Amino acid sequence: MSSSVERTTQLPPGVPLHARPAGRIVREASRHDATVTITFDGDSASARSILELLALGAEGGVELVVSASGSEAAGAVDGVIDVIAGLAAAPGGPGQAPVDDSGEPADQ
Amino acid sequence: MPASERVLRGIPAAGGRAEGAITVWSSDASVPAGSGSGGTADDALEALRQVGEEFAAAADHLRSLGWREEAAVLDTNRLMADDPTLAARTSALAVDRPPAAAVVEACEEQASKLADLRNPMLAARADDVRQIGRRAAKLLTRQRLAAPTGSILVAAELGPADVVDFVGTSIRGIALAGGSLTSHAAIVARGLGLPMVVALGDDLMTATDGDRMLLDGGAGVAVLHPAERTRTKFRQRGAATASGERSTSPRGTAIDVEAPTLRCNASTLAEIEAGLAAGAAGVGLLRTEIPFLDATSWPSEATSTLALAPLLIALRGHTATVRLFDFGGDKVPPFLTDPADRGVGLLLEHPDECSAQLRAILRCGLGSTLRLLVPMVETAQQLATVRDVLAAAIEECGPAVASQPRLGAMIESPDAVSHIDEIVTVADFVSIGTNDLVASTLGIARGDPASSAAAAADPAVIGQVARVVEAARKASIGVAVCGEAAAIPDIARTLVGLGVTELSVAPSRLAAIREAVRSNAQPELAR
Repeated sequence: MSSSVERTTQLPPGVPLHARPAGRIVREASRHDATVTITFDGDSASARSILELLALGAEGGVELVVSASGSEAAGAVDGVIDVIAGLAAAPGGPGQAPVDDSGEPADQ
Repeated sequence: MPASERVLRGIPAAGGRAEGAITVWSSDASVPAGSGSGGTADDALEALRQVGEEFAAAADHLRSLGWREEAAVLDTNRLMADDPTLAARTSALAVDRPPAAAVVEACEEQASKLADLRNPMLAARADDVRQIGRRAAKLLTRQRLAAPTGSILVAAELGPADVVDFVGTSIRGIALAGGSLTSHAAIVARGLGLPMVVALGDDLMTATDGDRMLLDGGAGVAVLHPAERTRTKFRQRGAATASGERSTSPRGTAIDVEAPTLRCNASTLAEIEAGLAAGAAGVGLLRTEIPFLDATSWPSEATSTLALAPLLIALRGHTATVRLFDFGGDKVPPFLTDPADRGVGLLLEHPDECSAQLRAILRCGLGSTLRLLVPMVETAQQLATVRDVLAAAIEECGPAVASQPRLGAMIESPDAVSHIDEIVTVADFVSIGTNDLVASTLGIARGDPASSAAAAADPAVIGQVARVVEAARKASIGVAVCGEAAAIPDIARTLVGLGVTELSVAPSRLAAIREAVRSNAQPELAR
């Protein structure tokens, strides 16, 4: 059964959508039988494409729209939103400090 | 009707003989080469998948060593190689292009989207994407060479970065329309014992895939469409040469000069494997810049790791003498525009990039006896500065790579020789690069055929070597020779007689040089 779901979220402040955070979103989106799209400032990206996500150029703290269609649309949107929320707090991962693409705090 | 026989004369670049059908090859992925350059979109997608697997394997390797952060960087590169948007664009472009061109162009499209955002972090990712394209194109080339129309590679030129494409394939000989004797492709060909003739002229490029050829690397001759009579003569001469080689039996084993340590020069896994199989005591010169001669940015720690990991894994338990990037001179990649300096001078202008390479070497080199070789050292101060950068890199890597690798200076110019007494006070060993030393001492260009290795026998060059040996002896450090001169038996004997403690030569020369230095103690008159 197919359905369509859409929710709005915010990138944690200080966490731009660079390679490591984008990679986490790709891995989560790929787990679900759903077509997941992330929209920022009028541009849309497939959540399974790290290159499209990076090309959004989203900085920390901005608003993102996560939408999905397909049999696991609801689970996919929830999962991706959880991943985005967790980017700030993931243990050993990027915290509140600005992160570079290795995921390490930029000031180290 | 069979085409008529044509004899082409060029310059012998690597000895040996080969007979077979040819594969016409172009290093430019956008230009279809010969008639066998086909391939489909599926080939391009398969190449991207393989690049993704390479990243995954390198990430696993780093993770097994406990470097989770570094592994995560390679994981994101893997996601890029596996990216569905990239795959879709590659498929679309492959409709009317060779697969290698399609994958390079698709990566360029995606890279320029990232570069347009004018964010330095994303610009670095743009370079990662471009590199994925080039790597996939190389795999497609390799795939073609692995199943070639013929066993003799024919090309207009071979760029220095192209050498990695034909090592380990079924190619048994190389014929070039252009090229030079001292090109890096020629050095690798000699290393692998592949016959090679250069400067055969543009007529060579009239040949097409599958044409028959006889190639005599020692004579510098290629025969296209050979007549049956020519082929028979060629085979007879080959057999005579082979039996002649067998008759040069060992000349005795008297040794009263300490036998030097024999290692091999390498820039590829194939050369390392060939060298170890031929009994080399590890690698005396690992050239790290060769895979990056077509790079558009300084290699990052991750890209260096990807290039180095397979080489240094193969050298576990052996001596691995890794030379830091030797860019400049005749090795200028696109990211360096007209550099004023070369070798260590250039590295010290880019300390962060130097440190990134050092970290990659330190991490990949775990498990081998690691030695670092600094190219084109001319003053003690340069080496001391590298030692400082190295100390900081070791600190950054943490306790896993705590051991201090030995740091050596490559001596390749008269200026370096004139400062040798100071250099040996800060070096753990020195290695003489005769290719450049010969060229600069005798005032000839490195690409000049006259700067052949044999010119190292010139008294002016031998005098320079003797000065270096004397200074090293006083400082109680080892002195190696890793230039091509060390691969010439008579010169190798001379070098050992002067007191050189280590020779590093192309894998294919190990047997001959072992034989030559074994009989080193025999007086000239006895022969």
